[in-house]
This record gives sequence, C-alpha cells and structure tokens, in this order.
Amino acid sequence: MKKAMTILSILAFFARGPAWAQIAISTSGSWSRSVGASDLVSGAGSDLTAGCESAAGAITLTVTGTTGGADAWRIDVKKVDIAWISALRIYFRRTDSGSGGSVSGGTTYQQLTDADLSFFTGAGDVSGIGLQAQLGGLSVSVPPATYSATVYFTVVDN
Amino acid sequence: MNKTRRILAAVAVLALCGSIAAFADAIATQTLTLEVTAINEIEVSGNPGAMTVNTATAGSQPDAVTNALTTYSITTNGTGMKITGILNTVMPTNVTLQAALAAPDVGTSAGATTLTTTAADLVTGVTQVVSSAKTITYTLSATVAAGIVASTTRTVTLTVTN
Repeated sequence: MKKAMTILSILAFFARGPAWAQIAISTSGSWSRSVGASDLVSGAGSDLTAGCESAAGAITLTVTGTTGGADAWRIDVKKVDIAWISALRIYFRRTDSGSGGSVSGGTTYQQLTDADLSFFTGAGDVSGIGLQAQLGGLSVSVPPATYSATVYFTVVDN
Repeated sequence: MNKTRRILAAVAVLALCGSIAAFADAIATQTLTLEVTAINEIEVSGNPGAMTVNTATAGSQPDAVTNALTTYSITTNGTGMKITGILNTVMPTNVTLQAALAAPDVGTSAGATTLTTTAADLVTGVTQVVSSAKTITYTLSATVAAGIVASTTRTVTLTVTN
C-alpha cells in the first residue's frame, strides 16, 4: 500500500508536467544588414553612423499553449555570439502587443548580453508580438567581415 | 530490480523526456547577421588652380611653384592601406609635377613625390582612419630645356588601396 501510494504520488507530481510542457514560443521574420560606404555620416572624412535598426516588427514572437488569459508568463532574452566583435552591441525592444492575451513592458531598447534578461511579460496566448532590433557600436574600427549572433527568446511560465 | 523500482524508473524517464520537450518549445531563436564591407573613401576639396613657372635667378634653373590650397579627406576601415597618385597623361618633357600629402591620423607621408602615369605611393600605413582636410602640396618645376610650354592640364587621381 505504501509503495502504491508512493508510486501514485510520483505519477501525480509529473502529471502536472503537461500543464507546464504546453506553453511554447515561436519566432518568425528575420533581420540582416550590410554596412558600407553608403552608411558614412557624410562621405570621406566621416565615420559610420553609430547604429542601425530593423523595421518595427521585422521579427515577431508568438506564445501558445497557455491555460488561458490568466496564465502569466515572461519572455527572457539573451545572445550567443557565433562570430562577433565586442565593439558591436545588439538591442531589442517590443513594438506592438500582437493579437490575443495581454502583453506588457519591453518597449524600450535594452542591450542583450550572454545572460538571460527579462524582456517583457504577458498572459494567455498571444501571436505576432512585434520586435525591433538595433545594432550599436559601428565605426571604422570594426574590420570588414561577416558577424553573426544567435538571439534566444525563452518563455517562462509564471 | 523489482517491479516497483522498474515502474519508478520508467516514470522518471518519461518525465525527463517530457521536460526536455517542454524546454525545447519554450525557446525560440533568431540569428542576426551583420556584414561590414570594405570602406575606402577619399575626396579632394577642389582644383589647385593654375601653376606657372615664370621666374628664375640668373645662373639657376627656373623657380619651382608650389600650391597648398587643396586638401583631401579619407575614411577607411582597412588595415595597412595606402594612398596612391597617378596622372592621366605624361608631363611635358623636362617638366615635373610633385605631390606631397599630409599624413592622416594613422599613416606615413612619402613627402614630395613625382607624379607619372604609374601609380606612386603618397601615403602608406593607413589603418582604420577617419581624417579630413589634410593638405595636398603640389610642386611644379621645369628646367630651361623644357622651353616654353603652352598651358595644359593634368588630372591627378588619388586612390585608397592595399
């Protein structure tokens, strides 16, 4: 009996898992940029404009699998460098609230690091949350090359 | 392993797999790519104006004429670049045109360098620099053997190259 209760308790514990396991996040869109002489502030004798940004909503996030409008969640964001240079900085901000559910915060650019940072919060299923990316630190001190980094968006079910 | 332990082990494995699946769906990624292309831009402020060799001291070759009224500006994100100068057409016989470019913030000027229809290094060691309004000094000289040379023009092309 004791063993049966133990087994049932363990099964009940993990039976809660499907509620956690359902929340999911997906992303669509993309942004890449080529920087050259046309990005100089005013031709020869001037430096590159310090930054550039994507169109608002160039990248979108969709959160699904919540238990309903009261199921709160949080989006964390970080970057992992693939081929990067420390002079370059990546920033992200939220530009709209998508459809469904509710979304709050994240409307001011924040710099990404290699550690998860709280980006914005919400509740319920929300689709097409618009994001905007910005690159900073551009100058002639950045050698000609192709640089890349992966941005990770993690949904945390609160 | 008895029956109870086998059940517990199976449950643990199933739960772990479920958790891994949950974590995989809870993360989405985007790869951002930035291409920085080579930037080598140079501009001059204008034309130096006519230069005329028309004076001399008896017993000496004609006096050379200099003009330092024009400048250049440069932007490069390259390393170890140089600025070269070249004429579009050879100078008249016994007439010489030289150019001396003030070095940008990073680089070494070659000083007064004779310009021909072959590119000549005027500044070397230019690396990741933004400099503006650097003086160009032109020197026109002629020997008596040139005789009288009618007014003529030449185009000097400055190039940032490696």
